[in-house]
Amino acid sequence: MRYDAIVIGAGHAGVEAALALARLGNQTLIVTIDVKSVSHMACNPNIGGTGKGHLVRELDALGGQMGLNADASLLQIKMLNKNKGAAVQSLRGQTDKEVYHEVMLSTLRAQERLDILEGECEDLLVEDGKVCGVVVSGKTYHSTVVVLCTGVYLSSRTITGEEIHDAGPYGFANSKNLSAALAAKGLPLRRFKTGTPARVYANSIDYSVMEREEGDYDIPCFSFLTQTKLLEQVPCYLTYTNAETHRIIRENIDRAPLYNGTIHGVGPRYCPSIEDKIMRFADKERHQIFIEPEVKDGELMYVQGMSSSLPKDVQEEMYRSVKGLEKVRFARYAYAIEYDCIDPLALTPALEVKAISGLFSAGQFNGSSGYEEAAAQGLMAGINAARKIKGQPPVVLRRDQAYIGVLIDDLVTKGTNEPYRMMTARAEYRLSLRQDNADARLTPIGREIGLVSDERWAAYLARNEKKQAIRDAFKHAVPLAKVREIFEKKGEPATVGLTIEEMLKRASISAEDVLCLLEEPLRDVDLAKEIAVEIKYGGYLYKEKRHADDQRKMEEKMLPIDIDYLSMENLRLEARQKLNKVRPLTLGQASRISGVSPADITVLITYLVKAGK
Amino acid sequence: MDTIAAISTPTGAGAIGIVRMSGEQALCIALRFFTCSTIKSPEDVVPGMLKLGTFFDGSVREKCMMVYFRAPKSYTGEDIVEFHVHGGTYLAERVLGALLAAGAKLAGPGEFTRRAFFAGKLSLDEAEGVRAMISAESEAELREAYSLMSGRFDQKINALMTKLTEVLSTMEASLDYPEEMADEADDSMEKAAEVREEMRALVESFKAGKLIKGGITVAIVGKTNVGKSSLLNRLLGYSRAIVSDIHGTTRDIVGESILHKGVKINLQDTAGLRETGDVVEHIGIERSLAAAKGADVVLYVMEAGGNLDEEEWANIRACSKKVILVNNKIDIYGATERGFNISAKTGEGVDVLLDEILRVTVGDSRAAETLTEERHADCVRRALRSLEEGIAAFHEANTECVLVDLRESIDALAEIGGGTATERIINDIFSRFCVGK
Repeated sequence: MRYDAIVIGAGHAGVEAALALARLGNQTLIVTIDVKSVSHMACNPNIGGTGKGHLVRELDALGGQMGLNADASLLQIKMLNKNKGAAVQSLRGQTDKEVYHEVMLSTLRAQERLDILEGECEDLLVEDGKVCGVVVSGKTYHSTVVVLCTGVYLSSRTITGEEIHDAGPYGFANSKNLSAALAAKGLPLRRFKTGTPARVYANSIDYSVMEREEGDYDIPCFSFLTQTKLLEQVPCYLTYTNAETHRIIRENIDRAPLYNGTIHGVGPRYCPSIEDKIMRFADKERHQIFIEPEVKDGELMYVQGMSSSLPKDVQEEMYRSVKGLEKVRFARYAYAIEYDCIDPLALTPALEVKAISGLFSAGQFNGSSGYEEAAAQGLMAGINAARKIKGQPPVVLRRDQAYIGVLIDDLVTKGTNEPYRMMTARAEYRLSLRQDNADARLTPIGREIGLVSDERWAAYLARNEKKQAIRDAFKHAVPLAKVREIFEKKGEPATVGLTIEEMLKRASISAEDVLCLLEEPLRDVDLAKEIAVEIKYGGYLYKEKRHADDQRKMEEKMLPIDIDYLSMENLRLEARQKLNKVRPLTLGQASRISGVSPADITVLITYLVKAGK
Repeated sequence: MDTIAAISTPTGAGAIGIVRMSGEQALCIALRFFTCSTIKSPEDVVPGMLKLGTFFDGSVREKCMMVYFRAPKSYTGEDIVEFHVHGGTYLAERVLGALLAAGAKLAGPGEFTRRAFFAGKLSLDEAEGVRAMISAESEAELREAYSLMSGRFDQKINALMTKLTEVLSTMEASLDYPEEMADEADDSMEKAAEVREEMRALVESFKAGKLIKGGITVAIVGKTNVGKSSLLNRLLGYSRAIVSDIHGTTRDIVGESILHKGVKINLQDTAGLRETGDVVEHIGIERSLAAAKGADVVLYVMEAGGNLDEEEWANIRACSKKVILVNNKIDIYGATERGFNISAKTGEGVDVLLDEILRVTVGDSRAAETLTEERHADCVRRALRSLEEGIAAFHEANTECVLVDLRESIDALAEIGGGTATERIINDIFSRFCVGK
């Protein structure tokens, strides 16, 4: 069989890559070890969160699938940081895991030019440094490009106390042979670790002693195409660990694989197991535990905050010490999982493996963590694999354009020593990269790439036109009497007539307050809020823009692919080695490599001049 | 883009020092200091023409040449102004210091070259030249970095960064982990204010550093016959080394330099404030006041047995912040309750007076944490400016806006201490807070 593209793995990265490739006109094959594991949410039953919600909105704006799929399976939606500034507000949605899987599977099945194959990928075919196909369950499939999205399945093992299984997450089969095949081709692999808490029976929990956590009913959903708001929502519940829980864990710590040497993989600091939290933060009297539904009206609940690899009997004892969980029954125990992944410094900013032309990779295989981080990379790897087939230059989003740009640049330029999670703190242009303006930032780019459908494009243009109309209306003068009427409610003095824009510069005046001053068709509270944010951030946005403009020249200066860094005598040795390892695409990327100084950049510049570039 | 400035001739003695400034604001900043008979406004400056004039930074007037290159016909493609001053680094540093204080940013390594490159102005020959220079420069930098690493200065910068990072990571964590951080106490702004005070002290110590390098100027003023000259002679006799003989431009002000505890002190003996006739007295006072104004410290000398001339005392204090009242001739009159008691004749109290001169100028900061390098001073000044802006915005602006300023502050320090704000913050969040599911 011959395909244009083959995607290995149908998790959150794989499905985005495959859909992008097929939608961009390529005959595509997606390989999964088990069709039931397509878009399986192996850990928490939610999409989004701080920083991650931004990724989903960006992915959606570019024409990706995750936002729409999440909206189709939402049980609850919340705007995190609602009482803080717009730039740090992120959407987080509780989703029905089964619906999430089913909707994505049917989207794949309905997609033209996309075939699904169940089986284990065992080897990669490489000729003259170029990828040319894969071997799945003993059978050869040829293709021009391959995208690796193997998640946590490569030579994985799950660990619960003394019980160790040679398996993937949630009892799915793992990939036994591919890891060795990749290592034999020279890919730098290493071992990471992550974990998940127990799933317990809903009817064994006493919710009456827990705090009820409701969603927000007045906020938009993930996709810019979803016009409706979520009116029917399911609650989550909050409870806490206590001194007794902590005692049980401390007394059994020698049976914890993380502490007795069973686990060697590097785990993420931001996703600590409960035993890690207790041991590292001994002073903390209690830790939060959120009880979240796995499916709608289903029998299973997810116990967020209690990830662990302690033995089953210890898990039972410690879970049952928590208020409301006294009689809890276990459906699945918490476990840690170890897996092989690649050092992302081996990748280009297009997510192509430097050593093997046509081989792309995305998701946890690249050292990240999280569904959203995986999906974002999957989309970009799919787009760039498609462009490789057509001989087009790659699309690399800049750090001032998107969180997706920050994510990929961090991975391939700085590398990571633990599974990488997106945080708003990582984005230096945070005020500009808001979830509310993801479409303005990225939909035109998505349209040019070819992933933005006519429907999405029309919706974007309409939204944009309305935004412009509101922006214009904000410049209109408002008579003093009206200004006073609105200001009085907020205790603001009013002495002269103002434009709406001027009114919004007051900290206490919000978009909602001035909505009544707009003509009926322009009274769109979400859009008005978005424009108000730009006005309120004002000078700070300008500061960010100035930095970004300064940096842009560096970002646009491409470095030739064949530079011999090691022989550049005027560079310091450390800089030569680092540059040779990362092989940056642009001068900007070079400047962010740790160990490359401004003086080294100047030396690089003099070489560029000499080479006439 | 910022307007940048740097000394573009090698450090050390040379016939001429060149200070170069590039950017939109270059000419505007230059004309705040440079005057010349044919230049009344920016329009009068002829591009490419070397002009002789005076550079006046508020205290010292220096004859120098200025040349202006108008964008895009310049090395960097931007407006460039160069000042050519008499040899030696001292004057060049003085000119640079004035430009930086007026808003120019100290150019980073290779920054002029980088701008030239992006403007498409860097020729092959120039590139070769720059490369040779850069490797020499970075070697020097490396040496400098090593000497700093072991010094107390580096510890000081690191301590500031650590404290500031804690402030930022608490604020950042509250944004990225709103649920987990809800019950963490937040004293960020108090901590930020502490860091600000430490930074201010460091910036002050930079002034002290300059004083250590250039010397402290001390003017001795007072009425005739109170013992000013005896004091000068005593100080010179007391000192172990006479550094130089400087004859002032004003005929009756004589300058001598001594070293005290490793710091150069330039002593200026002024003519006594005479009391013969109104007009002359007026001239005398004017002259002494002028000397007092130019000095870092003023010693106002009187006889321990005399009465304080309140009007004269007020006049002296009006022209300098650091005036020390010195009662001389205590061997005759005995000590008084006011100011410092000395005897120029016996030498009693003179060493205490010298210590006091150091205390009020370079303070206790003469240790390694004193900023003496212009580059480091520039970083700390920028860090302080951003921190002050952040603190000022704290009560009106959202956390994420305040963080724009605070991050700028930490990034400015990181130019000395290494790393980036983001790396430091994220590491700190996970080491200090129990966040994540």
